[in-house]
Amino acid sequence: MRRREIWTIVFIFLAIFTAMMCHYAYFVQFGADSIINDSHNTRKKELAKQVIRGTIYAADGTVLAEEALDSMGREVRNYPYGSLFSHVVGFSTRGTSGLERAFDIDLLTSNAPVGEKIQKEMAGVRNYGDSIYTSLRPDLQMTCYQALGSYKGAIIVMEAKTGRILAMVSKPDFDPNTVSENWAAISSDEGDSPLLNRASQGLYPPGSTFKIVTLYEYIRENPDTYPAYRYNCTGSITVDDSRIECYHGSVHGEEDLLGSFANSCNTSFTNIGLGLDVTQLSDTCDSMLFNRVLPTDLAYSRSRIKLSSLSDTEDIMQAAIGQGDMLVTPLHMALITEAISNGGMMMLSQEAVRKTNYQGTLIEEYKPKEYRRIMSVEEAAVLRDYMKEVCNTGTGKKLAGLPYQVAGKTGSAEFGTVKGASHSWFTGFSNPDDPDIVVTVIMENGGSGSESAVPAAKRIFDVYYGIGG
Amino acid sequence: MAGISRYLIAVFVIFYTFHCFAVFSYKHEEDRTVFYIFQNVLMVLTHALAFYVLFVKTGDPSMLIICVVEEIMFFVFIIVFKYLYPRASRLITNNICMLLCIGFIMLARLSMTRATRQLITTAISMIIAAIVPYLIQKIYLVRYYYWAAAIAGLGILLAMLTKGTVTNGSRISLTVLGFTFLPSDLVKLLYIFFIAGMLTDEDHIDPDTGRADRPQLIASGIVALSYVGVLALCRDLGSALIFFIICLFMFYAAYRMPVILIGGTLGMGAASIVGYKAFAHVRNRVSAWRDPFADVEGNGYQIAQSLFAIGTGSWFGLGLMGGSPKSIPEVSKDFMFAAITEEMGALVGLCVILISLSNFLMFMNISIAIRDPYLKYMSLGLGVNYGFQVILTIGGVTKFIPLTGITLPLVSYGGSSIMSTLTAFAIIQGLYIMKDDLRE
Repeated sequence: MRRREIWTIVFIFLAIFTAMMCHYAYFVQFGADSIINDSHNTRKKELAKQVIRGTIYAADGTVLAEEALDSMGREVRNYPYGSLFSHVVGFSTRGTSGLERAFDIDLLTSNAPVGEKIQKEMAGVRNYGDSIYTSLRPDLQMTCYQALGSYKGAIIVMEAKTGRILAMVSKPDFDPNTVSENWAAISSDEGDSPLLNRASQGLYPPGSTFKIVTLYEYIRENPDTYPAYRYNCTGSITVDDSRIECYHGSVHGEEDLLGSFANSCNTSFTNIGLGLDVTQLSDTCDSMLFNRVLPTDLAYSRSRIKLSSLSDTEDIMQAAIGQGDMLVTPLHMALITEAISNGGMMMLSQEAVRKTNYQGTLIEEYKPKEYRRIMSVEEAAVLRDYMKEVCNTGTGKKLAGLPYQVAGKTGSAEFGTVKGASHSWFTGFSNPDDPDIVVTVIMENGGSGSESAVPAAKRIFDVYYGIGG
Repeated sequence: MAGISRYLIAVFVIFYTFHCFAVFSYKHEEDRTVFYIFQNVLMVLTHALAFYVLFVKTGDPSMLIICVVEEIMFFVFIIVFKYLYPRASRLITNNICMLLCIGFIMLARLSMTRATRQLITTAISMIIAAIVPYLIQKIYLVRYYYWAAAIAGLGILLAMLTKGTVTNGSRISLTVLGFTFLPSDLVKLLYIFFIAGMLTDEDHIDPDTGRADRPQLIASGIVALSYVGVLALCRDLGSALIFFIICLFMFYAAYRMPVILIGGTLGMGAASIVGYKAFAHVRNRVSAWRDPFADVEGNGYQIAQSLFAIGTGSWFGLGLMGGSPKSIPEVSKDFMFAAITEEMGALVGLCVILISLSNFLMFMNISIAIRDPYLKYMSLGLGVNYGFQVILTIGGVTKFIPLTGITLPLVSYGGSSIMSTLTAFAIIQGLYIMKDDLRE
């Protein structure tokens, strides 16, 4: 009597219990990793009492960060390259930053062989944490470091097809070995903010590098007629009392779209911008990750742009040439460039290649991952050809006639109220037909793009292709 | 020794749990004796090893004292119960002790004061639990006084509504003669007695269908809803939900109509929406459940800390005293399960779920086996109550469902919960003793 109903109730409960146990086990095995690395998790310091923090390696196998003993025999975190990798590798001695932060839990988790782990735990000795092997190349990092010279700014070198970071430099920097001792001085230096990773957190006006976006939007809105575009540059353009001039008073004369882009003609691009559908341009910016999350493990700032149907003529004129109410991070610019080089597919920006236990046994591989398609293959091919022209005949022609071909875009981003002062930008990629690397350079107050950023990029391409030296 | 203790503890608890289910490979209770003794050995090993670790890590000699006292208490309870009631289920007795044991370990680690208080209330509850099976066999008349149970229960709830103490926005505790207790735990038992009585009163059975007649159904429905309503007014929505579910499943079993389950579930959904709209703290809990990290310093703090604890503990845990479970607010009550996972590991956590499931199945087993409809519905109600509490608390802590503020029976800190749960288990033991006489 009434057995069937009770069995039904038993099965309902069994189903809920099973689902709950699966949820719990799944969380412990797969879901927990990303959650426990949150900076609000204070339990990390408990882990450190049981595990010796693991080592971070460069692509060539040299050590970027490791536990070591100082002259007094105390355990310290040692960064053999000093300030060279200060931002990307980061530190773990006063809070965490960089990769030390992104892989905090991994470095504090030991996947040593079980027998050894148990033996050590019995002996009350700490186990060795796992190691992170990165794609960072000390030779390229050093070149970037030198190429940036005494400028504030950042350089990013990324593998074009995979999104892997090969080098990432930000200046001013600091020595991670002594960051804890010098914390007061470093953290209070608001003028230089050396702790800020300008590569991923620095927000800059994009200047003419934004013309890539303007150009893309124009091609999308005029797929058949854009090759027929003509404009006569007289050095300036004035609409509704707003005046835009070409850089340092240049006059480009009669030009087509290719010429306007290659010569980075402000007046022609202002003209183009005024013809665009602002709402659609704003959507395009969103799809290119302006105001959005960036696919990276590092701490970053969101690029910002304010464009809508309410934007007035001056806003649109300024936006078309990358001035006005917009800011980008160099990493974002590098990712857009990477996507163009990679047929429109943006890859996840990654530094870590694999995680191993301390003996080198593979635990996890971080394969290149597609993040999001930001344009079609055909559109990317058109932009690539336009960017090639920049480096062949235009503002980037210091990169012409070399054993390697480069496609890119320069920028001179005016900032502040000082007339004529500008940040020097370059973003581009080498060997456009089968792209190798993306290089993005920003040098604060470095003048025009071709003046500072292009030569810096050239030094990096040279080292990558083993030329000169 | 302290180093590998967490692995040993996990192995002990896993073996124990394995035997909760493996015993059923033997048909006769006599053949199972060796398993039960093995379970007792594992229980003592777990308990002793854990307290040894706590002693080594804290250097507090009272750890050793409480350890010995607790083991003596378990020993006496198991022996006396077996002597008094040879036909009681030894698996239920063992499971009670094992869950109490895991709870005691974590409580001693979290707060010696609470561990001591828990020990005292458990000792008193165990004495009650030793008498209840005898009473339940003798006091047959109780089933006819269901209206008295209903009025008493409602009276206590109304007293809670008017005189209760407010904790965390819910009015859930009542202080009488200096003792503070949570009335809803006690009222739940009265409530189950009431519904079981209503459904089986011979004077009100429809001769055609063999079920309680319509007035009986309507009356019990109204009483049940008024209980749920008062609990909702006290803002104890977790308990309101449990009361509702108990009523739903008991009605379903009595009237055999799936429409009750479906309609009830829909009604519950509608009530949830109303609750969501009406109560800010319900909205807070739902948003904390959806994304605890959106407001990790505020609204989502508790659940985020719980997930940190579970995630950092991983399968084997950080070891006793190796984590920081105290960073979770209400850890010894609602979040005991997170603390267990953090320090003893998720394998032990899974075992706690499985032991609880084993208990639930033992409740339902007797409900299926027994012939007397009153006892049948009562054991069903008690089983649903127990199983649903486990789901609500563990589900809440692991972000499977939103938090409801329910504690884990036998494991979490709380005198009224220990007392009412042990009483419920003792009633079930009483039914196991009568099982062979009343078998269907």
